[in-house]
Amino acid sequence: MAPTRLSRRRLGAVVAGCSAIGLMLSGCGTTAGGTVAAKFTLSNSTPKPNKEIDQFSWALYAEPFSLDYAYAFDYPDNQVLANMCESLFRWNPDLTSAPGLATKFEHPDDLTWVYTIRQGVHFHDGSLLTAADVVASLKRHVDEKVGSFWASSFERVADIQKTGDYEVTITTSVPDYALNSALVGAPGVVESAKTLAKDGADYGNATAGVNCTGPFEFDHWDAGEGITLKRFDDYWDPSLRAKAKQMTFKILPDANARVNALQTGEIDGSWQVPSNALDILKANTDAGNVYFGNDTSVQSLVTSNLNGVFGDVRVRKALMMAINREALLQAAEQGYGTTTDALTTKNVWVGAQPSTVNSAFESLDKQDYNLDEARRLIKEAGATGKKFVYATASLTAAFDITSRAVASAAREIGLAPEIQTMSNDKYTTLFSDPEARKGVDLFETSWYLSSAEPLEMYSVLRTGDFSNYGGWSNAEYDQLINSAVGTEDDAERNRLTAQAAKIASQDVVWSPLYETVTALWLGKRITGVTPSINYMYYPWAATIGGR
Amino acid sequence: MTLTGTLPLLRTRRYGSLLSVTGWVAVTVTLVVVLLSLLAPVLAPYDPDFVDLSSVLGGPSSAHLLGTDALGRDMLSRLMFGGRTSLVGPLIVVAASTVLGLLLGLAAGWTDGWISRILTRVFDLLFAFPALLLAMLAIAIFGKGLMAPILAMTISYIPYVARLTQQLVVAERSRPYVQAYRVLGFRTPWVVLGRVMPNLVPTVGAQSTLNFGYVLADLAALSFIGLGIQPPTSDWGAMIEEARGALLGGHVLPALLPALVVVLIVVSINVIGEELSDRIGGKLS
Amino acid sequence: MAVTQLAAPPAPPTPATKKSPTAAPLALVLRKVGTLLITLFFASLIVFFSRFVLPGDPARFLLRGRSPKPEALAEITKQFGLDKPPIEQYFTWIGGILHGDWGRSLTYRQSVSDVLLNRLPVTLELVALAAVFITGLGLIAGMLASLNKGGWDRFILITVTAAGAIPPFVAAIALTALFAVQLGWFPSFGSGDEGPSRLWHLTLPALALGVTFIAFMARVTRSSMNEQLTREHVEVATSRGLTRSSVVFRHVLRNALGPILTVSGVLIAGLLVSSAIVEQTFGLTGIGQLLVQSIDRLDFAVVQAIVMIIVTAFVLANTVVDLIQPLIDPRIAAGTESR
Repeated sequence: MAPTRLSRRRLGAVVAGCSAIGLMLSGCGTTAGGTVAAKFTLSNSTPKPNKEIDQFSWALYAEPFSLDYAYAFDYPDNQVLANMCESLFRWNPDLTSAPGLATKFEHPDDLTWVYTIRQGVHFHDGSLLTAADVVASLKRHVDEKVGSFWASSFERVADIQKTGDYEVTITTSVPDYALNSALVGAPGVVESAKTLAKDGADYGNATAGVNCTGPFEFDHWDAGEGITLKRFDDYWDPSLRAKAKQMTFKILPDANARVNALQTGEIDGSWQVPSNALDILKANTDAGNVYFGNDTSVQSLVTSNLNGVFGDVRVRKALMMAINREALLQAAEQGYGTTTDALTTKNVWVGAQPSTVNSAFESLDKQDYNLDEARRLIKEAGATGKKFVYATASLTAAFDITSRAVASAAREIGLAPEIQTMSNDKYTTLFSDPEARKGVDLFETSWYLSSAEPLEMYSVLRTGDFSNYGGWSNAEYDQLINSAVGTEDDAERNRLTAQAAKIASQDVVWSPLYETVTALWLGKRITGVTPSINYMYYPWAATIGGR
Repeated sequence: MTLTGTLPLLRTRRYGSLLSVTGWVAVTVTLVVVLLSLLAPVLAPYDPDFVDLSSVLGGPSSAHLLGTDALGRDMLSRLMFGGRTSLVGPLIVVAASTVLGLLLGLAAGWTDGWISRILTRVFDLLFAFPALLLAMLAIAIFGKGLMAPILAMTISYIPYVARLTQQLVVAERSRPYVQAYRVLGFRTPWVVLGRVMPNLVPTVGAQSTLNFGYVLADLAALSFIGLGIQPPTSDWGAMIEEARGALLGGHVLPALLPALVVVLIVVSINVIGEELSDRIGGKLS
Repeated sequence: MAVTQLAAPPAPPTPATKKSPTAAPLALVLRKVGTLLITLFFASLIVFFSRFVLPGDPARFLLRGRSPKPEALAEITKQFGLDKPPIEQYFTWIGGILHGDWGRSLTYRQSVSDVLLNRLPVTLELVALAAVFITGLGLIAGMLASLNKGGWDRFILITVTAAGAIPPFVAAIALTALFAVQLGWFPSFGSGDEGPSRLWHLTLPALALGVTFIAFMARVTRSSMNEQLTREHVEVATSRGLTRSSVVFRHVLRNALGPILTVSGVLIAGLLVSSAIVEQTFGLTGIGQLLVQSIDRLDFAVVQAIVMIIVTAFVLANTVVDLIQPLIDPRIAAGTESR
């Protein structure tokens, strides 16, 4: 299925119509998908490198918590790991999948999946990959002692067995058609069973590193400074052989320092370019180029307490209506994104019929910017003057701006927000620890999908799911999602998911604000990588060479 | 800059004006800033937290005298309200440490026995902890915000005041007028608090004025690195930190303005404090 | 960093400690070292027992911000010896420190000593470079101001007063914007490889770190030299026909060094604390930045260790300065000169 095409809209007319005051009025296009001009065009590729290089450097905005794939759950961790460790399937830049460490799979019956493992693949220490390694790696996700952050992908898995030297069979307890899509990412990573046993609790930390199969191998990790990878010459896929002998990730939490380093050429490239620097960087064509690509991230507000003021759907709707999402997108991301009413991006609906995609997006409930209506709803719900706690962290400038803007909007319609700023680490625990969520009514998230499967998002909102942070429960929704998971036909599965999406949007379970776009900076020394969110799981660094 | 043990001349007569021209300018600047901050709720043109996404990063205009920040919040209002938070912290620290320091220093300087020795040792021990470090340790335990660093810095600054007081008291004790009071039968507490103390206050006060500037800079630094006042509460240090994103895009005012105010206040306070110290210490620089 | 830290008023002589001016140097050294050790001991008590100030479950406190899984609780209990009485916990901690075992970092899942030692060189080099700038630039500015009454004096005084009020974080941003991004003369982040590259990378951070102290050093130098210049011996030397520079260096400066030295020694230790802010801004992986990060991430073992290190450096520097003072200026040993 073709990826999202975003053509440049007519900028001029829109700018004329949207003077500074004009943006406040809804006449400037605040509908889903946005009719406002896009500041960026997506690229499918960057110029091919014309030579190999000795080394290049890459900026990271935070230090990975661990290189252990079971805990690699965030941008910094995954973008590093993707170059060293591979999964059973590969996630292409256009978000379709291709064979990876598994060459094919068969599905003899509803509950059985048989994977044929690629032969002749070596781990970085030279040993040969066999089915035993696959089983050991996958089993860690269901092992309670490991506490894998990806355990929910394996919820319906009953057993993982080695059924041949190069064959692994997964048996599920109920039909599960979402599992395969997950295997392009961290849930499908294969590590050497011997290494896992030997390193134990130290696996993936700064001294032990990893011993996987990817085009780069772990060289060393200077805690707090950076991580260095070197080319693995025995990599099994000649088409993805690394074009650089070595690469170093430099850890620089300070956004200004990062942008300075990119401009002076001290660091060659970066994902997650701070949006307030994009205009300047785009203009600095002497130093390098900015590219935009596929992203599956949606910035949303998560209602984590349905027993407080947000228990009433009118209040949730009202808050959405009080936020001028277009203006927010401008302020928070300098316009590098698209406002949305959906919790997923169009590009993950691979395999859906156009009409399905339509109903999953166009016909969703829209909460357009309307302060008067919002105030009326609040009064009607009797929520005037009621307090709520909004938790945030300074993860990015966008988070800061969003939290202030949302709080201000809430005050404007008569609510009494209290902003609780947490440390980045404490904020992360909101997503995994119910204790941490106590006393918090609302928090924001940049929720990205790790597969081209909308169910990855919507299954999260089922009753009792690990990430159903507000404890929302809707029987019809559950039923739709559960049938979808068990539906083999792609089109039909997506159709059911779209119906569930509609229910979620009617109930404003989470409040989508805008989609972001993957921004890539390539300094003038390097080129070759395709800008796409698949950098989280695909060995993107191997495609980088010199220009 | 230490002061030797000579006593203030203020109890006799002033030699000309208390401060130089620069000094009076500094006083004016300080008063203006303090007044604007105090009267912020009345004088500020906007609510400092009011987000106006349509006027993001605007330069100075008739609507916004000092422009707006990345969220369209009015800079002038934020600076004024920011003063309330940024000035109150150092004020508490300096006031509390001065009062406690004076009392402890008096106790240490007036008595001769083990009280004095123990107090001196305690002061020595506290000297081993730089104020900023103690503040960070307190934050590590009590959490971020203003409470922990204020507490810690008060404790850190007590020994400086106390040691100075102790020195002065020891010198005063042997002065004729004190001996005279005692010979005449006046009770010790009255002599100490009623006669000796007032002579110390100017010297100690001058030093405390200087401390105010240092504490302000330290607290602003703590807010800047995210350990002190948490945004969105307006505070000059936190404002500078919040404005760094705008710096990336080439907008300097949101960061420059609070930085200027901080520098201006600290310079003014330093000038006042040093002139007072020099004058009161009997030396002119 | 509060500049008053640098000049703690000296303890007034109490009757019991009056010593004869000719006290044996060895006794003096031993006494100073003894005081050092006692201070360190009590400081360690403060650092260690600070954690107990908060009521509640110590294991939960140490695991704040992380999910308290049973395995994590068990490990923390074992590592900190939480099931033992506090006194024993203290001795285990101290014993560990003296053996080089400073505990385990929750953030890095490595031993604290590993994490620390990786980062110590950068901070030490930064502080050393800053100290060079402070003493160099500060001394020169102070001397110039003191020796050139009138225009230069006022100009330097004003500049230095203003500079002294610029907090390190403001200086850092301003220096980077001008010298790194605009002019490109210096790198904007990172610590570079060992050697000349390191020096080049640390120049701007060291300047930002030192700006407040350069100002202070200039003023101390200036006032100290001013005081000396009015002394009799200088007039005598001048009237004997010695050249100005000779007078300045051999008579004025040497005697003025006393206060300057007091300040320098403690300066270096004090810089360690302010380095946290500068390191953060320039992306330097030193222990200052590690301190801030560990506070942010509630990694208490690391915080304890770093605070202990800084306090030790501070007290050590103080002691060393105390010991050297008499060598520079024999009158201090004789007790006839006040500092």
